[in-house]
Amino acid sequence: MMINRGMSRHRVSWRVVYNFRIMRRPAFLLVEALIGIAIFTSLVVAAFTVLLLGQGASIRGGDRIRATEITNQAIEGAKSMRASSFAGLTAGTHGITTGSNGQWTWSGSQIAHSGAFVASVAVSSLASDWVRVTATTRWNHGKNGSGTVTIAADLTDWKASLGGNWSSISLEGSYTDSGTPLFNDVVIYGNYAFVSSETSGGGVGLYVFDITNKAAPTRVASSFTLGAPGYQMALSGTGLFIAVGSASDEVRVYNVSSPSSFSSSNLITSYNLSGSARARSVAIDDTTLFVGTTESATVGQDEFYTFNISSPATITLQDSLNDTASIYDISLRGTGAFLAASMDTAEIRVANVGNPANISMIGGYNLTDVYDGLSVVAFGVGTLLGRTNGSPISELTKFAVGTAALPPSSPGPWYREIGGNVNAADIEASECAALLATSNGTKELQVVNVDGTSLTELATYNTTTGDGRGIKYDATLDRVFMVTNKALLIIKPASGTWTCP
Amino acid sequence: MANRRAYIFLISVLFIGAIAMSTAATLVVLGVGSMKTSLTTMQSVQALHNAETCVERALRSLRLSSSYAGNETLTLTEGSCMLLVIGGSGNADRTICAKGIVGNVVRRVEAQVMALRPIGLIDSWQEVGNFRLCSE
Repeated sequence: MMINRGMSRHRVSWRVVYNFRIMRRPAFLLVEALIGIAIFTSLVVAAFTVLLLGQGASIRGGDRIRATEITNQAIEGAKSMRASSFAGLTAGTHGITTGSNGQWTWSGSQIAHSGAFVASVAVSSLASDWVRVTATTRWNHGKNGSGTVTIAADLTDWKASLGGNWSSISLEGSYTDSGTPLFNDVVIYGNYAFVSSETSGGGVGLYVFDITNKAAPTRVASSFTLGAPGYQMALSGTGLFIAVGSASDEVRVYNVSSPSSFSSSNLITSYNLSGSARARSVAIDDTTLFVGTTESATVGQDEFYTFNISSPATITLQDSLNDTASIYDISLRGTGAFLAASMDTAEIRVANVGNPANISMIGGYNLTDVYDGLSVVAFGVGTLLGRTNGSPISELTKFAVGTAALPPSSPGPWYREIGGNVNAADIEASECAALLATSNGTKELQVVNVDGTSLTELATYNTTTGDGRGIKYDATLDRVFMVTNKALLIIKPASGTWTCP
Repeated sequence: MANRRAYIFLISVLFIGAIAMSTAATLVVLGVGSMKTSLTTMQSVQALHNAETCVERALRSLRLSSSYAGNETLTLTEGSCMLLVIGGSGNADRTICAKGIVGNVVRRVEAQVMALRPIGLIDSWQEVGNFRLCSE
């Protein structure tokens, strides 16, 4: 405190007070600033730390979801391999990827995915028809964390054939008629077989057989008569659809829920096609009935029809196509109807039936010479066409399944000499063996390997009851039912496990 | 006047700090949510495979013996699966309903089997929210 002795007392005291107040004024800027900085720094550090933790958790969560998807994909790839061949699920640890053909396949012991994820699949065999597939995906992203996702699933070979060996066949039982009814087709309903026939040789058009004892099938409902020739048949629930050689009701529907008491009163409804007695072939897909007829040059008399049969009591026309050919057989695959036809330039015809109310003929395939197509089977890896017997040709043709609906000209087709008409054809459940009803005098039933391209003969059966005219394979019974001029034959495979040769 | 500036400064700091903490806390919550979602996703995928494992094993058992009734719970590597009573009888027209369970996640698969032998023929095989072919 400085005192200026030259000043008055009043001025001196005021100056002292003023100086003192300046000296006593709180240092708020410094302290508060320091406190504020400290608080702010603490909060920022805390926030930043929490931010990093939260971000890290989000990243780890995303990594786990990504790994889960990769792992799930690996399991699904293994399931796809199982669908192709159960034997492909070899024990061990594998990487899995898609090959050049787009199919899933093993590749090394693990596969690296983008984002530094590494996936592997471990297959352990629990039984000859049972494996456990464990897919694992690992990642290590350094400070962003690491982890593992594991998913397991059991796969069994439920598609393995437990049935017979179709390389060795024998007759289990038969019914031989005293006359020559000229049986045409056969369908199986539970423990009963419905067999259609001509009437020219004394047949009644439709027969019913009890096949409970397959060694000795017996005819039931023997008083029933169709009143006209019966041709191809198809079942939808308890409804039997039959192509009839009748002038006014070419397609009939019968209720077959009580086969042993089958009678004309079981007729549900019928449909009169244009023309007379032209219906020959039928096929059913869900609620659509397909009918093929003999060729007619008359305008308005078409050769291929689609009907809505969603209501059991009605057959409602949806669409029809005019064609310059008779349609003897129909087989369905996807949106295509494959037709065995009499056209000289297209023995197999293909129609687009994706929309049954608006069908169209896509085209066909012209085989060598002019022998008619009689039978057709469209299956998973090919299409078979059976033709009438001709010395310049091989009567059985296998087409590959192309990317388009029409049978491709390459690869294939492949051929096999049958030595007779291929009047009817079917295929057994594993789609290895085709079953052919033929007019070959010593091989009326021929079993042909259609899994590959060699079309080798697996087995044959010789009957003295006439030509093979109709044939049906029943998957639940694992039996072939073939009808001839005068007999219903029940053919069984040899016992024991069988793999397609 | 000087005190007022100090208060303004301090309160501003506190406000900014509170906003920063709220943002950070939100990100933490989101991170935790992400972790939970990823765990549930993994459990859900495993649960579906568990349900399908039950169907696969039921098919195998039925092909060995068509009188297999199902109605059992199988303990698996991750979680478990439950088979309901298998519908139908004999070799044809059977129904299989299975639930896959991992933690709190349950997924359901039902299959309609056309034939068991000689080879398995399946009419339908699909995941459902509630069983239609079986009574749960």
